[in-house]
Amino acid sequence: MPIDRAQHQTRVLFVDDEANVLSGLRRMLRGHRDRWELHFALGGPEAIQKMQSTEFDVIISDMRMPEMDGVEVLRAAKTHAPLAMRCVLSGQADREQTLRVLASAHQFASKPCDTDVLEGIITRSESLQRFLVKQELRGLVTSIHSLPVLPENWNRLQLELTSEHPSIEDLAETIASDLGLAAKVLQLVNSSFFGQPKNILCPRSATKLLGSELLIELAIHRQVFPSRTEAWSSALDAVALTKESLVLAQSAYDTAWNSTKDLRTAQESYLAGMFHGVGKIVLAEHVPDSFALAVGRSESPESLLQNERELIGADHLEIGASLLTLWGFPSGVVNAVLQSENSLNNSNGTCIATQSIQKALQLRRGHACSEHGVMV
Amino acid sequence: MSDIELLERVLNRERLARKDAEQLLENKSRELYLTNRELTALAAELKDEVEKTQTIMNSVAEGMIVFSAKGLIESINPAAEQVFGITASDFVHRHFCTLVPSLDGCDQSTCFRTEGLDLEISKSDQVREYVGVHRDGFAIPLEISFSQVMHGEETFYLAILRDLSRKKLLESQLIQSRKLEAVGQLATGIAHEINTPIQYVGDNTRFLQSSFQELDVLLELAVQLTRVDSPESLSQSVDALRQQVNGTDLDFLREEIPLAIEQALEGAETVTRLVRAMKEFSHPGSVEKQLTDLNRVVESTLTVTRNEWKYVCDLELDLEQDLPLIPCYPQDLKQAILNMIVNAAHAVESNLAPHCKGKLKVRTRSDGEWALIEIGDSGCGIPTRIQHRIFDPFFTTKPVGKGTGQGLSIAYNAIVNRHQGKLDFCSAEGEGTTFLIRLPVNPTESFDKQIPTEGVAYAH
Repeated sequence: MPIDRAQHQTRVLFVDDEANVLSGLRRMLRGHRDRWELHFALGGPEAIQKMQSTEFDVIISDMRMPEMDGVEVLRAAKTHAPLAMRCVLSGQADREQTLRVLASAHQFASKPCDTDVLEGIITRSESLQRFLVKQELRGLVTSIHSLPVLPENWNRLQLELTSEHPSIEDLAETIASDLGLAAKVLQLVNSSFFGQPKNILCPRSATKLLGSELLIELAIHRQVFPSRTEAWSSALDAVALTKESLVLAQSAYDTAWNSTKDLRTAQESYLAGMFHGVGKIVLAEHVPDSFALAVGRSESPESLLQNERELIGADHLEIGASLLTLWGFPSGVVNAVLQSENSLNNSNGTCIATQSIQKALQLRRGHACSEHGVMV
Repeated sequence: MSDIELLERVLNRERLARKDAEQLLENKSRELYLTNRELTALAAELKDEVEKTQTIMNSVAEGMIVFSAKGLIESINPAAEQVFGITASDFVHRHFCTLVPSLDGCDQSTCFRTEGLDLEISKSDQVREYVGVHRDGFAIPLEISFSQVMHGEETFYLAILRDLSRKKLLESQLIQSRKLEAVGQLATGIAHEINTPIQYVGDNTRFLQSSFQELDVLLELAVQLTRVDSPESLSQSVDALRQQVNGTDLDFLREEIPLAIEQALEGAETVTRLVRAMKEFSHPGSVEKQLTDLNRVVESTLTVTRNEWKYVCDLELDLEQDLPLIPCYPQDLKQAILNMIVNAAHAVESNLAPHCKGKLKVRTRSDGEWALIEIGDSGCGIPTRIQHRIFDPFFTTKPVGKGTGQGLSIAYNAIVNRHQGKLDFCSAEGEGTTFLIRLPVNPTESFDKQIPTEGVAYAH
């Protein structure tokens, strides 16, 4: 196993078959030379060679290239650079290629793109390194292509999509009530390939924007949303977590809306509520034994985080925040998830979404404890 | 024998004779009656038959015209009336050529030669396309099959005809939709071709912007240096400038800025070239032939299709510089060449070993009589068993959605029928295909005639 690297510059590899694009990027990003170590590969074979000798944190590849296209480069990156965040920077939205690369790419940007977009991508990778110091866990999160879908929702989705006239309303309803489906649909809609210029934060709108035709392609033909029922760990009651997350999301939304009347902030708070437990799903699926042990030992949310860190190397909030970062969720949502368990009293100066989820959790726990004595 | 006896005998004989006569008369009458009955029945039957034939003639969907060996019309059925917009009675005894002047043997005078027609009929494939004239003067595309009818000493001709207007309309709509499909595909490719240079034009310009800010600080200090009025302030200014110079990566900037400018310009030029080629390519063109530089046609077509082939082929371009200008319809020619280049790229792609590139060879030549355009690829080749079908409309070996099978048929029509050119190919399975377009340098004037010619493989 590779030794955890100490503080280092973030290493970025750009892959393109056009030398002028690479030198343009090199010049444009020169201002960041103190923070980032930039590498450039002219085409796929050179990229793979570089991956074998250098450990990269981000790989940003063009799509259409002779000899070896972006799909192959990013697929190879899964093996040769398993810790790296994998991104596409392409000038062409070829539907077939886009659908093929979905399984390998975390993020998508379109040419021509501004400095901010590339800076944003690299900054995300820096956050990822900060959240997950342990490389093994970073490798785990970067390898996740989809989250398990609740069997009931999966059946409903399949039934609707294979019916003669799928109802987009019913599809949106199903997707918005499932953590795995909603997270993936939001990731796709906000990737530049599906052409949404602004961030879409509402799972229902995201579904409608994606459209039933594309959903059929994704769900039926590409199996982007797998039902891994066997993967559900006994350590986690996924149905209860989903139910609780949706209630929490609404509560955080209301809190944020009442205090700011700003839709975006309220929507970010909703997503923070919805996905604050997403890290538990990852741990329950991928390290079920350690996670079960951590749950068994814990009496409070704080002690669960503590036990997770001891047994696994990171807590579920860090895991969740990392996954959301990789999948392109806004930093407001990511930070709110990460800080959701911090005590409300220390929240001076934190953003509204964070405060809202903290408040919602507090409200919910007071309620639940008094009623059922259940830990959320 | 007494007179009375004699008379009685005579009378008796007469009586017998009369009886015989009566018998005969009765027999004859019966015969006559029977014959008459038979005849009436026959007549009724005949009438029925004629009416039946007439009804069939009247209700048949195909137009039918019967005309004599002199070309004079004997009868026209309602379907034919409808096709030409005429009334049969007005046209009986008029000349068949007034309806179908494009028929072989029709000439300006009314005289009509049947040799051509007889020859036509003797061919096995009797159905051919002609152009008829509607009463209102417009042309009607027709499909006519002729047959010869002998009746006694007389020879008649029967023309069975179908109006192809609707079919032709559908065909032209299909060709239009095929063109639109090609345009859509090209648009995606061209978007990519433009996005790439725009990316590095932008990146380089942003670099120049930030570099200028760095240099501007230096310039400002240098300007201040020119304005010093005392030795103290001079050394102060020099210090400030020196410090700034040391803090700036001047070597880097002086090396990179000219490159950035050069590459930004290069990108702008790439976009310009592409936009110009697109403009040239999509120029509607005139309805008449115009003198055309084939090299430019080839180059602009290669530019707009670059995204289709550049990932799978290396291009070998060999253009004869003093190619004569050729009278042609540039739009049709570009469409034909485009279809062939896209086909070549697809053929190469399907025949590509992993991580390799194939070849696309485009050559122009002239031998005085013909101008030649050769488009060769290192693709999968055309299997011998389907070589005779590749110019058939809707014949395709590509999967559904990849092609409608009209590319080569359109190319064939454009080159052979529109330009009196020749389109040949040679192909070896697994090795590649070369198409050879030949266009007449000095075409005769009677172009546009639809001559069904066969595409021939010229070598293997």
